[in-house]
Amino acid sequence: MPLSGRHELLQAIQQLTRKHLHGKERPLRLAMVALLSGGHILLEDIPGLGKTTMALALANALGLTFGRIQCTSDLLPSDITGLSVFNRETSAFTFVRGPIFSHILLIDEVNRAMPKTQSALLEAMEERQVTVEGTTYPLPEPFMVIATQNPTEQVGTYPLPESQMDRFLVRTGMGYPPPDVEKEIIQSGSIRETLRHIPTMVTAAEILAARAAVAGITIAPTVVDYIYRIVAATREHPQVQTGISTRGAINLAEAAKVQAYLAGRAFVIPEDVQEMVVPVSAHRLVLGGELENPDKEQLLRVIIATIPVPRS
Amino acid sequence: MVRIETILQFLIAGVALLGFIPLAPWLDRLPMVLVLLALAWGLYADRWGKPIPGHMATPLAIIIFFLYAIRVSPTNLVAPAANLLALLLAVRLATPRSSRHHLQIIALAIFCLAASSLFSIDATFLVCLVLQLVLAAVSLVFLTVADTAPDTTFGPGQLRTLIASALLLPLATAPLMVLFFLILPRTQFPLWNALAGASAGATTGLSDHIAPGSSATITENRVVAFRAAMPAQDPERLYWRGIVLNSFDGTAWVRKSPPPETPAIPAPGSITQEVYLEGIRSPVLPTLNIPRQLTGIRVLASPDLVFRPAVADRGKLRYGVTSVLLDTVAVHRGINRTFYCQLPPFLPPRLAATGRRIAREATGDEHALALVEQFFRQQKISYGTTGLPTGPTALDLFLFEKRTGHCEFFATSCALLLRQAGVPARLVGGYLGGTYNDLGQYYVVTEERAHVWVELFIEERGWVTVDPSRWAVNFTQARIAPPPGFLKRIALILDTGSYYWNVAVINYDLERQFSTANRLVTMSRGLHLTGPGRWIWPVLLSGATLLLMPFLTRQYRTSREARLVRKVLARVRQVYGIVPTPDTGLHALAGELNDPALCELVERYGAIVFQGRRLSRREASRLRQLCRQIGRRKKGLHSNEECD
Repeated sequence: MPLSGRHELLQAIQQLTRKHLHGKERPLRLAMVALLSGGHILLEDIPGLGKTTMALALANALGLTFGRIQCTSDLLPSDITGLSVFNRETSAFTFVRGPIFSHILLIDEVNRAMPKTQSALLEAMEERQVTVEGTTYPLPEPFMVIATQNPTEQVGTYPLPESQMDRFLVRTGMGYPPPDVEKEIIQSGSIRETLRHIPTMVTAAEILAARAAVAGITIAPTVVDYIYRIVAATREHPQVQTGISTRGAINLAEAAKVQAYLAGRAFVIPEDVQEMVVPVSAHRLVLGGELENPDKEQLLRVIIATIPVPRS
Repeated sequence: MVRIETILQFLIAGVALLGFIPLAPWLDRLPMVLVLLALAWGLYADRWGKPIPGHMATPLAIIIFFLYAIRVSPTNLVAPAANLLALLLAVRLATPRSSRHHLQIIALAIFCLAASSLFSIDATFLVCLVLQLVLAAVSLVFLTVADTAPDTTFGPGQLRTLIASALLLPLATAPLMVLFFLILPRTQFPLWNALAGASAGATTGLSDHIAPGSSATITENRVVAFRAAMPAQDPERLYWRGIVLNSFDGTAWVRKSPPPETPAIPAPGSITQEVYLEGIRSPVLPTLNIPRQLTGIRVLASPDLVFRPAVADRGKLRYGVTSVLLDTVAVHRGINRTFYCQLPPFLPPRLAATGRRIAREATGDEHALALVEQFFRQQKISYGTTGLPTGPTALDLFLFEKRTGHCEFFATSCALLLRQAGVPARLVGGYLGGTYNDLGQYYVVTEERAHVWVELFIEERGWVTVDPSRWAVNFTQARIAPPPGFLKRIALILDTGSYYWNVAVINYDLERQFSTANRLVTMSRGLHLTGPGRWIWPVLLSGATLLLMPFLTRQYRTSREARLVRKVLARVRQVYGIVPTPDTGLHALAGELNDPALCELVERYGAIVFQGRRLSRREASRLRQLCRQIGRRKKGLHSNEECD
């Protein structure tokens, strides 16, 4: 079957949004996109909108291990990776694995960690391995980081530099749930407890198989050209200082493939690209300094609207 | 960088000027000066000053309108209208302008040009028309740009691109213009002059009333009388016959209805001419002496070989003439001698005495002629056009006192002397000589070449052409022009343009068209290819076409996919009235419209195209079928999600 695991994954998303994560379909879907294309997701929103809940639910539903790091300004790299501890009985150092050795790693308030820790973290994200005291430890597969940050807080934070932002495949906000849904949530109260009992719907092996299926999805030259034109347009736009990088373009193509996979197609259509371009690319844009409080997503949408879609 | 407003100012000024130039000669002085002032003021005001405010200009325009409106009458309609047009143009030019006013100026300028064609049809008209159309088209493009972005400025590169694309407009209309040229009916006359019968100017030159001694000087009129397409001839024999004057009343020669006679002109050695007459100043058609036949228009021919148009047309005419270069016209069964020997009751005494002497001495008609010539040569009269004798005794003064005069004096005196001697004589008015244009192979004959000579009747021979002016001591210097100099040559080359304007535009008619078609047919029949040449050319041509085809079509070839998409979008527009924005993909469109056929089509199409394949012929035809079903299948079978 060319699109193996798709059915199960879609069902998992459906189950989660129906039972546990009301009104969180879009971030959940984007998290799935990041997972299937081997990337990481940055959730940018104020606290209390269910970022952690979503990460937990996702980990449980997919039958994956879950680790969590709460970033503070005194967080050290070894707090994440783990460290060697002397064992008296064996008279040897044994490596105690840190929280990073999980399938799904939630890094809360990533902008509160000091740059040294941030960069260690992001390096691990990219390399998918951790080297401590000369020994390299591979991270589990699949591995996905869900980082969160609060965009409104400024004091005592170390904003992620642009180069680090580029390492996240997807950035999205959570957004407030719709009024009806929110009322429902208020009524039923916190669901943290019930999350522990979410049955496993997808196995890690299925996810890896789905990743293989995504890699096999065709992307036609016209669509590649479309992606290129989008990327080129962001580079030439007068209000943009630095446009989408080549890595950004690769990520966009991969995200579009996952979108096609989730839609049950073995090929990418331009609409997949359109769907993915804002979450995948907006955070990679560096705008000119003179713009007050720029809305990158809005600007990117404006740019996209000027580029004709390939139809043939 | 150039402001678009500045470009527009100059373009519009150009359009206005092109409308004004052809009309200018027919305008009153006031409107003419005002238009020029307004044009200059408009350009100046755009740059530095302020234009005349509109609230002042509007009442002014109304006053002007009434001023000219009261002058209008059924007989004087076009001239006030033309002046009014020019004045309105002036008002518009001098006042502030919005895009609407620019358009008004363009329209007024075109009207001005059109109005000029009511007065005269000239090659200038064509030049101005073409230039004006091109400029107007370019102006319209710039106006459109100015309307959407008034503060636009252009660099030289952008300006070039914009002008080039603007020029496509008139270029695209060129084939249509040619087509209309071929099929539209046309007039050979300036309409207004033809309708109102207005005189086209002072009638000097060929005249049907010859009165020597009526003025002291003759102003030479260099206006072109006619052009005659024909091979070059001996200039000595280039007598263009116009009118025959057969009666002298004591002061002037006039034409009376000629008595019947039957001239016999032999056919051999005939020369054909194609004459293009520039507006008829005298109601006769000039022909090369001696004309046998006139074709191309309906004419009234007199026995003394004078031709008049049957319809009193005015303006440019074209006709063919067959002539024989002879100096004698034989007449069957003789002539009415008494009619051609009539003399006025009073003749100048010395002239009468000379006549009587010749009559006494002459032994026959030919001897009388010889005696007359001898008399002229003895008097040593010179040919001149200034210091002419005037008054009732002008002929006497001419022969015996001043001894200078022009052809009218010579011809009149000669004919009177001959008539006294009993020799029938008449005056022939026409033209002498002409400038040959080698480029166009035609003669240009100007009004200054108007000439009068004598025909006398000699029994057994007929009417003999005699030019008494040749007996002047200085005739060769005075009348036979020297070979054309440098400037004259240039003038001749310029004249060629005017000639072809007449040939190709003014006198172009159905007959011409048929003859051209016939010639083409004959030419193609004459084209007999034999031997290898019969197939080499077709093979070479088709080979070259085949080789060039891919290059020629590459740019314009649209893929099967693009054609299908165009069809689908057209169908969508037809059914739903929706034109998707360029950033709307087909799948998004299908999802939005939720049309089952479109959804199916898009799914199938996307599965082929976005997998990197091309449509096969069969797939394309299947998809086209689906395309036709857009809007026909029932909705709701597919949900939105499935459609995506």
